[in-house]
Formats: sequence, structure tokens, C-alpha cells
Amino acid sequence: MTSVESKFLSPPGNPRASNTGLSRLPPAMQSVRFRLTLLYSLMLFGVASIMMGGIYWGLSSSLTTQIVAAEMASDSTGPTFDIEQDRYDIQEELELLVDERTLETLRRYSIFGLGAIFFASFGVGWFTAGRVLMPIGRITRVARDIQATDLSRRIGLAGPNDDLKQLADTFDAMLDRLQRAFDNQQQLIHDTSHELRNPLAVMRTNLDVTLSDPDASLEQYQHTTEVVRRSSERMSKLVDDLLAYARHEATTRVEAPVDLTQLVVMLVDEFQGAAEQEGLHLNVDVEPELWVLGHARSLEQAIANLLANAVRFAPTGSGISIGAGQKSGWIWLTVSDHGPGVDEDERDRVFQRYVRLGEGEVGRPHLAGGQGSGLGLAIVREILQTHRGEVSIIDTEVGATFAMWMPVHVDFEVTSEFRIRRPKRKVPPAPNV
Amino acid sequence: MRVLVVDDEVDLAQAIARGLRREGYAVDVAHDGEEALEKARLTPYDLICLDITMPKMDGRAVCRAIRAEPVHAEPPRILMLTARDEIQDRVAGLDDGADDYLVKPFAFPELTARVRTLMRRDAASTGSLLRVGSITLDTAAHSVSRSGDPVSLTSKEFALLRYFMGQPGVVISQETLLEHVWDENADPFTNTVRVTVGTLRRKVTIDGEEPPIETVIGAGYRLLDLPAE
Repeated sequence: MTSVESKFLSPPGNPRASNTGLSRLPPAMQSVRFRLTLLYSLMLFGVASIMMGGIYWGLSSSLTTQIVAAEMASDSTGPTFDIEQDRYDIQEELELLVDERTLETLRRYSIFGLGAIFFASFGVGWFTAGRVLMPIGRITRVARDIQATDLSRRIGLAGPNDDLKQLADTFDAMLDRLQRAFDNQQQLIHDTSHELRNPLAVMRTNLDVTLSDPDASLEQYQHTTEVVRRSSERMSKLVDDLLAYARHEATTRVEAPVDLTQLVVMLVDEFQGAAEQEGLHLNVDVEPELWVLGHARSLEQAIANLLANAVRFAPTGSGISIGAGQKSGWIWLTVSDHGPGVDEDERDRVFQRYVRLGEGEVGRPHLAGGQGSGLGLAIVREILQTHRGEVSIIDTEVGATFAMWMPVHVDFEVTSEFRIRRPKRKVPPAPNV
Repeated sequence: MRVLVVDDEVDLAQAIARGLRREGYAVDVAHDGEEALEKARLTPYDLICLDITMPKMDGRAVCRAIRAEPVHAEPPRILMLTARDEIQDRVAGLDDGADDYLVKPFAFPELTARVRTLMRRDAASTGSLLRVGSITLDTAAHSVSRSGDPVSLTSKEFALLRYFMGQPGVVISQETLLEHVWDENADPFTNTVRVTVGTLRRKVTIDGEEPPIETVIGAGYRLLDLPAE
């Protein structure tokens, strides 16, 4: 049998343990509890054996070297009589016999005692290991339940803040994160299917009505084709944005310093064409060297979404201003247009997924190019949140101004002797608009 | 039968309206909740096709408002059209006072079938066939026959006859006909009702027999419930 075959033929189970001697033991003996108990009682047995052996050895050596009768014999001064000498000899012999008996008894009790210690320590060890490992059993059970049922269960281990409690709490925190991500995804799928149904319904109904009409005119066919084209454009835009959203969510957590100034300059170049086509001019006023810590691609997406939004809403011939700078520990960036603006009470809502404002209204030919996907600003907010920043709409006299803030990135290597303090205030200062 | 189609998707609302007009309904269109409620207060619609997700006021609120203040003697039937298909959404919609619920995207024939069902619920008849005297009208097949002979009608005449056949023997005024058979684009000061009733009467009358639709001077028109021969 080759090694590959033996790998496949080995019984299922823990692959790491499968080739060690432990796997040959019955399952109960493979448990940590058994191994801990065995180790504990063997060690206790060893220590007790050494101690008892030491006592035995000390006692036996002292008994054989210090014979009381001999000492008594040598202690008596003056001439000794034979009768006395004989008595001492008899005493000595008797003493040796008694000593021998005592050692024999000690030996017997020691062996019994060691045996008792072994069994008692096994019992105590089994009990203690069980007590200590009980939370692990609980963690395993809950984890298995969660696998089988739902993500809403938690271990919620009570007790002192020890290693196992920390393990359980970490596990709970991980579950919280997982559940949030899972719920978020479910909601996204739900919202998205709902969003896709609207353009689908538009297409389907238009096609149904036109195709079932034997007297449909050429204009009606043309109108239907136009409607279908518009709806499919809307759907493809939604799919694009959805991909961007998913891509952002999947971004690795590794962050790197990003120069926002470079990003803005690059993006403005990209948008120049689209803006000119709409008769818009871009005014850029960006400070140099604006470093933040994050993902360049995500940040690029966020700024691009704001620019695209401005281009879509700005009336022909107006200007779009892009500003960026640094203020008390924060980097700010603003995009302002002269479009219809956003009502005060709608300012938080526009960042929710699939919320669109003022679109689809008749008589705004500029928006005839199609609706947005309703994801653009939600993506911006998501990205800013992962960058410890914020995005909001700020008051301006005309149009809408979107402002984003992110903490300044300070290079640790250059300024290592200074303590870097994160700005304490939750609300970032207003940028200079 | 007067229908109001409410949907913020302009392309969808217009397509539904076009399709329903072809079926012989008089259709008005509204694009948001407030507009819908305003129109429903002014006109005694027979049916309102109501989208749920709309700006300003959503469909459920419109539905509740219509049910809370019955302005007209005959409250409208409400058919909710929505992309939300969860059971709790449907239950909530029906609890708000909707009569039926259709999930987008739908097949247009299903919409018209449901509209027909809703329209005949109060007529206590089953199926798509209406019969008054010797006149038979099939709302699904869109056909009319008099004593077995097919009668060819325009969609407006068909709608008018269907309305008459819903209330045989009852005198119906010109204003009522204008409200239920014509849409908001009809000019109330023309004699379009009189002209259409006239042509309809001519088409359903068999030569040498008494016309089944009679004029009640000063009151309106009545479809006679004559026994079939």
C-alpha cells in the first residue's frame, strides 16, 4: 500500500491524531480529561513514591547503624562482666529483630498507602479535570448546535474572568460579528431582489401589453423597445454597483497609507470627459499630501460615487467643486453641486441602501439617462465607516455638498518619539468649504 | 368600469393603463401616493391598482386612508401591486384593506383576470359570463352575443354594456356613466355618452324587436331585464 492509499484508507476522524498511538485507545481514553487525570495521578504517585522511599531508606539506614544496645554497652565504663556482655548481645539481637519488624511494617503500609494514593489521586484528578473542562464541553455543545440550527445562540459563560471565560467571550464576539455580516448579507439579497423586480416588471408588462395587441402601432413598438432598453440599463447599473459593494465587503483588512490628493487628481481626470459632455465644469481645490490609512481601491470607489452623483444631479452649465484638506487630525473632502439639493430630513436616509430621492420625476430631462441603482451612497458610507470616518451632507445655500472625513495617517517611523493621539471628538470639525 | 393605476414607475403605470384601456376600462394614472389619494377622493373608482413602494406616501398608507374615510357610496376595490413577496408583507397589505395582492413582475393576463374577478365580486355571479335577457357578455373573451349571434363592439361600447349589465333594470344617469366608463380625459360637456349609448343600442337591437336599452327622460338610461326568448 502506498502512502497515498494509506492516507485515504485511514479511518475518518481527527487527521492529526489518526497516526499516533492515541488513536488506538478507546474513545473515552482519548479525552483530555482522561489524559489530564492520568498525568496528574502518575505525577502524584511518583512524588509520593520518592518521598516514601526516602523515608524508608533514611529510617532503615539509621536503624542499622545506631543500635541502642551497642551504645549502651560501650557507654558503661569500667570492667564488664560476661553475664552483662551476654545480656547486651541478646538485647542487640532483639533490637535488630524489632527494627526488622518495624521496617517490614513500614514497607507494607507504604505500598498500601501508595496504592491508595494512586487510586485516590485518580479519582480526585478525574473530578477536578471534569470540573475545569466542563465549560469546554459547554462551548463545544453550543458550537455544534449553532452549526446545526441558527446563529443567534451564544455561549454566555458565567463565572470569573478566567482563561475559559475569555475563550467563550471571544467565541461569542466572533459569533456576533458573523451574525451581523450574515444578517447584512441576507438583507442585501432581499433588498436587491426587490430592486431587480421593479425594472423586470416594467419590461414584462410593457412587452405583454404590446405583444398581445394585434393593432399595436410602430410607435408603440418603438416606445416598448425604448422602455426595455432603459430598464435593462438600470438593471446593469444595479448589478455593477452590487459588485462594487460586494468587492468592498470582501476587501482584505490589510490597510496601507493612501494619498487622497493623488486619488482625487486621478479621479477628476477620469470624470472630466463625462462632465464636459454634460456641460459641467469641475473646480478642484485640494491640498497636497493628504495621507490616510486604508484601501486605495475602496476610497477611490467612494470618491467616484460622490462625483458620479454630482454629475448626475448638476444642471447643465453649472460647476462642481471638489475640495480637500486637513484640519485638527482629520482629512476632509467635499463634493458640491448646484443640483436640487437634499431636504434636511432626508439627509440621513439617502445613505441607506436603495433609497433614491427626486428621481423618476417627470420634467427633469437631465435625469432621463436613467435612475441610479440606489446603492451609490450606501457604498460610500460603508467604505467611510471601515475607514473610521464619516460622510454626511452639509448645509449650503444651493445644491448639495457631500463631505467625508477620515483620521489623518501619521507615519509612525518618522514621528516615533511623539505619542500619536487619535482625535477625541466624535464629530469631526466642519471643513473649510 | 373606472380604474386608477398608481405606480411611481412611469413606464410601468403607463403600460398597465394602456393594457387595461384596451380591455375596455376607463383608466386614470397617478404617480405618487398623495396624487392617488386626491384622485380617489374626487372620483368614485371601481378599482385602484396600488403600488406599495412610492415616494411621499406609500401604498399602504393610501389604502388605509381610503378605507378610513369612505367618500363614495361604493368603496373602490383595491388591488395591491408590489415587488415585496414575503408573507408578512401580503398579510399587512390585505389587513390594510386591500382586496387582492399581486407580486411584481406579473404576467399581464393575470392582472386582467384578477381585475375581472374583483369587479364581479359584488355582482354575485361566477365565471366571466354575464347574462341579461338575451344578451351574453364574456368579460374574459371580450365578446358579446345577442340570442347567440355575435355582436361586434368597440372597447368603449363594450365597457358601457358591461357597466349596464352589472345593474340590469336600474336607471343610470349620464354623470354616473361618465364617471365609471370614461376616464378623466373625457369632456363632461360633450354628448359623447349620448352618442355611445346610441350606437350601442343600435348594435344590440335585433331588427323588429324592442331595443334592450331605453332612455328614461331626465334621469338616464336603463338596461331592460327582458326574459330570454
